[in-house]
Amino acid sequence: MNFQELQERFHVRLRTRLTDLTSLVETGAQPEPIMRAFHSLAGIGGTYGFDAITDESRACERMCLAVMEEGRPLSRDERLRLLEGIDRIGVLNR
Amino acid sequence: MNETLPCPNCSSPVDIRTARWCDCVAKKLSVVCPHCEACFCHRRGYPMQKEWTLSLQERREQQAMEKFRRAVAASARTPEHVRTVLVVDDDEEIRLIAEYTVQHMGYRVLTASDANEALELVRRERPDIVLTDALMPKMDGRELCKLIKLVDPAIQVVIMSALYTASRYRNEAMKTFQADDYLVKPISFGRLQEVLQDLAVRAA
Repeated sequence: MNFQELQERFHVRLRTRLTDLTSLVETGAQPEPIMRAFHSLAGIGGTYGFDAITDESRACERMCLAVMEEGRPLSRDERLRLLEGIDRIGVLNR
Repeated sequence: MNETLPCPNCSSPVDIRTARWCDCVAKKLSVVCPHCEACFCHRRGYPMQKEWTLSLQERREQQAMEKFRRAVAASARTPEHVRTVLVVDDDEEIRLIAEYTVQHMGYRVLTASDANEALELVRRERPDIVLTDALMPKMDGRELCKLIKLVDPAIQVVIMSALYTASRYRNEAMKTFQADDYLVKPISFGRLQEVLQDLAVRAA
């Protein structure tokens, strides 16, 4: 597999990741699994050369971390902001 | 050239071959007196002494030349001595891209998705370098590093982690868990190459 094929594979798999992440945010309010998913995405995006995906994921990860530090579940508003973040990553993936 | 000079501050003899370099001004080259710890980069009335500058410049060039020679020697090994790199990450995407990149750098690559699999490969294949993720389920990459060093202290371990954890983990990884180097995620391949070359030099 060459680098371009790897990047294409990453794009395809990112769609699945984002679908999983969306259902995670829609169904659960616990920030830790969501933070882990964004954390993982932040590490991968830039590694494949997509820094904007890393930046967007990192912002969502930080939001979850802040909530975790307060020791509370995600509010409805925060979940909506995370869903918007997922949408933006989806747009970057097109 | 005289390599012992009097310190302009306390007049003690300073051996410029062993004196610590001053790093307060990156563009200048000066040494720190081991007796009075004075640095002369900014001190009025004590301009940089030409012979110090020359000697330090020479020393820097010699060090660079030595590093280059060792790197050439390391890269000129015969194919049976191709270094093996074990990539450990629970994320398949990272394993794939790291495998692709490290292979293109001329190394033999093994991959593992968790610490147990990695330890099994370490015992069986004795890789030269292990690149491991820091945060993994079951066992943390730093714990893995510690166990690898127990199996074989000569195996060089590089821990990879994301930006926000870097400052928290860096010192701990290097000191407590004896990691040889640290890579910040997202991985920059220039930096990865630099780290692998540096480890090759250290091993040589």
